[in-house]
Amino acid sequence: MRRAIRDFLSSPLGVIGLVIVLVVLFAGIFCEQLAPHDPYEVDLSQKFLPPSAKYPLGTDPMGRDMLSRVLHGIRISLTTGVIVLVIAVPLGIVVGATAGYVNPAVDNLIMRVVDIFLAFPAYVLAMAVGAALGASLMHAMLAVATVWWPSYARLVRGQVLSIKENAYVDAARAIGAGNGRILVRHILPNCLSPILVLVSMDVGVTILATAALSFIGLGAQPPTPELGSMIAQGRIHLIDHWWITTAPGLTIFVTVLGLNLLGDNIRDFLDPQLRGVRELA
Amino acid sequence: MRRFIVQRLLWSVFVIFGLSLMTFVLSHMVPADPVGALVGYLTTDGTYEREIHRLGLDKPLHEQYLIYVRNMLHLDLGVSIRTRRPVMDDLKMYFPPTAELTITAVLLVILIAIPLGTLSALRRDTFVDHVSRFIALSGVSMPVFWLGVLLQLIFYANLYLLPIDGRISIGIDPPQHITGLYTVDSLLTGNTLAFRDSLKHLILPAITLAFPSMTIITRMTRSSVLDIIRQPYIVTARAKGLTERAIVVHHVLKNALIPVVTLLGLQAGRLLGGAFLVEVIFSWPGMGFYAIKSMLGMDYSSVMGVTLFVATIFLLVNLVVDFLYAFFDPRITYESRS
Repeated sequence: MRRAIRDFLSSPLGVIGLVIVLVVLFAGIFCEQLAPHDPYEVDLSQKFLPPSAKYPLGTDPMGRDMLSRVLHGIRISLTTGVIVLVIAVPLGIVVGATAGYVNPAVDNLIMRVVDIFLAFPAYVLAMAVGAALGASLMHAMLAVATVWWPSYARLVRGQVLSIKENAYVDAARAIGAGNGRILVRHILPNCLSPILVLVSMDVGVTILATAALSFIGLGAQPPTPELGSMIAQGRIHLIDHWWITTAPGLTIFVTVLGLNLLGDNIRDFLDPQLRGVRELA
Repeated sequence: MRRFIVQRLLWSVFVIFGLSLMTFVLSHMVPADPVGALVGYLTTDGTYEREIHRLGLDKPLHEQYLIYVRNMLHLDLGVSIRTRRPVMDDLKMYFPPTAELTITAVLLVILIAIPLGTLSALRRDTFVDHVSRFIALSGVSMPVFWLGVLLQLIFYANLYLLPIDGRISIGIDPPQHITGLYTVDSLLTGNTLAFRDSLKHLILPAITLAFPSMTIITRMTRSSVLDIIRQPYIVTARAKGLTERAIVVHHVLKNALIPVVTLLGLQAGRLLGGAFLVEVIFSWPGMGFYAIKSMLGMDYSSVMGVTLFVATIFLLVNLVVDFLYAFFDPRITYESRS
């Protein structure tokens, strides 16, 4: 265990990622305590103030404190990343395990459907689904989840297909274990490591995708302090008031970078063979 | 080879039908009432019912789908509620700007990322490795929608170097329509003024769009080149006394670029999706700009039309990449594809 930790810490980029993620998690969890002002509090006498001691990141067109809004934005972004994966990953696992386990006909049918989902450019499909559901943050997360589950289905299906050929699966069946028990107790636990790797690489990406939907107006609506929609609103005032777009933009970038650095390191750590594979996506 | 091509083509036809089914389902999931938006919600004289009947929306779903597919085969994607023009006509108008933007981005990726990746592989050490990995990861972590805004802030608001948005300045006439790509058309007609102006407008959106893919392709080229230079046949080439340059160009790159080509095909999806965001930021009058206006305006026939169109382009690009891949690497078997 100590050796594992030392290995993990030997990569400087992984350590940078870990530190960023810890800071961002801290900011997101304690945003209410850390924020100096109420992120929704409008004060038109204080609008468009550049960064100062009282407002470290300035104020927005409604006189709201940018620092408080960005801190709450971090919480929202982290939550969207988690919720998207909480929907997409189990769905992908169930579909993928069914395809891989039941029989070739079912497998063929399911995987053709998965292929069709994967035939759309990800953002385009997410936007179309988001538009069909109607603009709200919850719908944006659902839309991103709709696009993300197929890659988990594909991964799990491949794993299940190879694991179910193992002798210990036959042994379990010989002693009378049912299909459900074999899947849950013997096959799925062995798929966990690659799923974890994919999840760690995907948190940042799904955060970006949800923020992009909010940016174009299909996600969180004002006055919610969501980072993507904050950038969208700041664009009108871009030229004279740079901080209104820069603060949320830099925050998303650093958050996602931290998650990706850490994810990259987790991948190398859990599965050295996968090195380079996920970079393709 | 022929069998491989036929198989892939048949498969693509199947996928296109799948795509059409999905867009159909999506457009029928919509809670909003497009017909109400078209004729007004408060009609009492039966206009609403007549319109529903005229559009065939009272038919059973499977019949509606068959009609949708039949129209699709005739390249008829319906009429946009917002622009009141056939969606196909709108697409024809909005496609060239997107093509210009995406093609420029692809060229940027190829011309910058591949040499950069090769160079960093040839001069490798751990420090460069860390830097290249860091840059690749920052590329995928960068929100495209913020990068564009940031570039506008730097190059328009602070340096006054480049225009903030649009395809061409007000006051300069667009070049005569030949391909619809302003830079190409103005070159063809020898219109230097329009060429310089449209090129200036193209720089920021193209860089914004290309950046994430650029970082990924750089890293991929680097690791692919590193793989190849360890191969025995490179040692042989060196032993024959070939110059370093000849080795790199003829032996290393020729082999190293095979996986890069596939990756470029996958990046097409990222570029097409990214173009939607970039076009909004730079008011670039392309398909993404059109699609997002339609999405926000609940104009589903055009949303579904664009989605289907973009997915089809993505499919065709990957089809071409598959063929190129098989062409470049004769070891690939054409007989079966798992």
